[in-house]
Amino acid sequence: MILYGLDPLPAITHEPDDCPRCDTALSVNNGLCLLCLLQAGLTEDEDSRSGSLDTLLSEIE
Amino acid sequence: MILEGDWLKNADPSRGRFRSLLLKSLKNFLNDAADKIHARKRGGDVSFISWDAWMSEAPSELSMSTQTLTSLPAERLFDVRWAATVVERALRRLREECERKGRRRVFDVLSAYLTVERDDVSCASLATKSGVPKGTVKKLLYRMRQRYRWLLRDEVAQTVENPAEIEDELRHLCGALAASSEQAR
Repeated sequence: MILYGLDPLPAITHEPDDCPRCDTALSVNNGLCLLCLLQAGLTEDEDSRSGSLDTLLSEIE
Repeated sequence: MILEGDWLKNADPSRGRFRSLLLKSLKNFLNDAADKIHARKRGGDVSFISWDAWMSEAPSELSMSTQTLTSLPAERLFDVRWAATVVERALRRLREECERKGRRRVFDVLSAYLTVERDDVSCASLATKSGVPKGTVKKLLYRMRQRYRWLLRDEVAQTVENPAEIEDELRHLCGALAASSEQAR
């Protein structure tokens, strides 16, 4: 059974800068803007199988 | 403790989001615990769980200003942290996919540009930092963004009844974040 959302929730730390794109001051790993990362999901791709990224990663010399 | 017994079997997806059910159940649990403690006056076999303490202790990272943190009601803070959890799980899966190919450095460098406008990206600089050819950086960024979007929607899909609700859930969480930021100003 997947107990989604019952993982430990993110801790609150630091004082982030305002995002230059959306002007909010909420960020996650590496200072990435939480709202921008969430809004990215509003775009649905027709084909985003892991294979295409996997293949490209494998082809890197 | 809130998961003891048949709690989840009684969940009815038609009555709302799982996140809301979880929040409601947690509140009920905390209220019950507080009632029991007050009834006994002192001692007892139930340890009261502080909502604030529970919300502030956890690994992973969510950064917000002190002003935002102190001005948000607990319900709104819960939404913000839920959104952070969804995003971080998608990022973690993307990182693991890169790691499986021995390309952790690619993730470390390029993930910072997942939401950056293409015009603001210097492929030459990223090629140097990530150790991959310049011509490959552009393709990698495109596919990593595409893959991240898919992973994020997949994470959200696990919390809603059917795929048609993914968009609504994302918009709800985006709205909660925007409102939280506005409220703190």
